[in-house]
Parts: sequence; C-alpha cells; structure tokens
Amino acid sequence: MTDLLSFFQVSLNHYLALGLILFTLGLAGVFIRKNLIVILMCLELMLNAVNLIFVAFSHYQGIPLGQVYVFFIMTVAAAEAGVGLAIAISIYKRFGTIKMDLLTALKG
Amino acid sequence: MDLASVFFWILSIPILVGAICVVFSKNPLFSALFLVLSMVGLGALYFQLGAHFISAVQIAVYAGAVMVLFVMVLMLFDRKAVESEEAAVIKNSQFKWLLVSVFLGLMLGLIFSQSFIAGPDTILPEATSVVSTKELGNLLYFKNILSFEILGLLLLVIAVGVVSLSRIEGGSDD
Repeated sequence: MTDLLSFFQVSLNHYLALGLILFTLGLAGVFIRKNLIVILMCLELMLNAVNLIFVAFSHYQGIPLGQVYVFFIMTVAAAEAGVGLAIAISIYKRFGTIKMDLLTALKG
Repeated sequence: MDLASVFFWILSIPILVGAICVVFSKNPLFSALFLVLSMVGLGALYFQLGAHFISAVQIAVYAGAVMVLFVMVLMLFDRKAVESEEAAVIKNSQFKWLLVSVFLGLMLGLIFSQSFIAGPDTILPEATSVVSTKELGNLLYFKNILSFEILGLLLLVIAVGVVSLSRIEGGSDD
C-alpha cells in the first residue's frame, strides 16, 4: 500500500516519463502518418514534450534558466510551423495532394 | 498525496488522450482540435510547476496562434486531398511500432532506474520555486540578450521566407 502511495506521489521522474510518452507519441505519429499537416502537428507534440521536461527540471532544481530556453524553443517551433505550412502549400499547389508517400525521390 | 500529485494525475489524462487522438484520428481537423486539448493541459501543468508566464505564453502562442495557423492552412486544402486512407498505413507499420516501443521502453527504464533527485526532501519548497515574470525578464533581456536578438533575426528571415515560399508557382514544369 505504501508502495502504491509513493508511486502516486509525483516526483521529477513522473514529469520525465510523461514528457517521454508524449515525445514517443509524436515520434510514432511522424513515422506512421502520411499527411504532411498531421506530421507537422506531431512535430509540435515532440517539441512540447521537450518543453515539459525543461520546465520540470527548472522547477525541481530551482534554476529559472530552463524557462528561458523554453521561450527559445517556442519561438523556433512557431517559425518551424510557419515554414512547414508554407512548404505544404507549395507542395499542394504542385502535386494537388499533401500525402507524403508521394515524395520518395530521395529514398535512394 | 499532495496537491501537485493530484494536479499531475488529473492533467496527464487530457494531455495523453489529446496526444493519442492527434496521432490516430483520421480527420486532420480533429487532430488539430485534440492538439489544442493537449496544449491547454500542458499549459495548466506549467502553471502548477510554477512557470506562470510560460503557461500564459503556451496558451496564447500554441493553443492560440499556431493552432489557428494549422486550421487555416487545412481550410485552404481540398478535403479529399487531405483526408487519406490512413487505417491501412497504421496497420502495415509493425516495424515502426516495434522501433518506437523499443525506444520508449529503453528510455522509461533509464528514467526509472535512477532518480535524478535524491529524495523528496531535496525538492525545493513550492514558494521559492515559482519563477516570477520579473526574474524571467531579467534573465531574458540581460543574461541572454544575444540569443534573444538572434531569435528576432530568425523570425524576420522566417517571415520573409514563408511569404516567398508560398508564392512559388505550382505546376509540374521540369
């Protein structure tokens, strides 16, 4: 019983595990989905998982610098979403679809 | 169980459900809406972790601006071009699932095999671990001013680049 209670007692490891599961879900989405927009959403999910881990470490170690890096990551993520969506628009204009199994010329 | 644990376990449900639905829903619009759910849950979790300003930025930028951008771009596309048959794809990717679950298992084992904080007594008290916006601004504008300016430059380049990228003419003329 005390083991169960100590498992539910949240520590840094719980936040790391939640962030890791989010990251893995995003990774799985990038691997298995063919829709470019959904792939970009899964990338956002992965970046958010990293942000969660940054904030958790910053909280538990009392170092506020981690939150500054979260700012930087958020900015880069917004920029990445903008570029990705612009690329999606030009792919759609050229091929009429945004399914990613179309673009396999670089497979080798 | 203290308040932080209650918040964590309650908030982790919408975060994980949202993330799972992002990956598995066939309609990309539903993916976007479930991503908003996940983002708002993460914002609440940041608030609980004492990162109040980050939480506000998360709600405003991610759940607001970025998701509006996604949904707007989805509206630009033809529905038939966007909605593809994904079920077969998800079924035929056992190797990818195996890879991803091996990654998850290894990393989870790594996390729980060692404790990054020696024990609950080394955790800082809640009151001191709240980072005020003033403190964050000092860090951002005095200690990290170079990175901040470089990010501003990056955003300028991105703004110009996105406009020129989306103005590329279509058609298969190669």
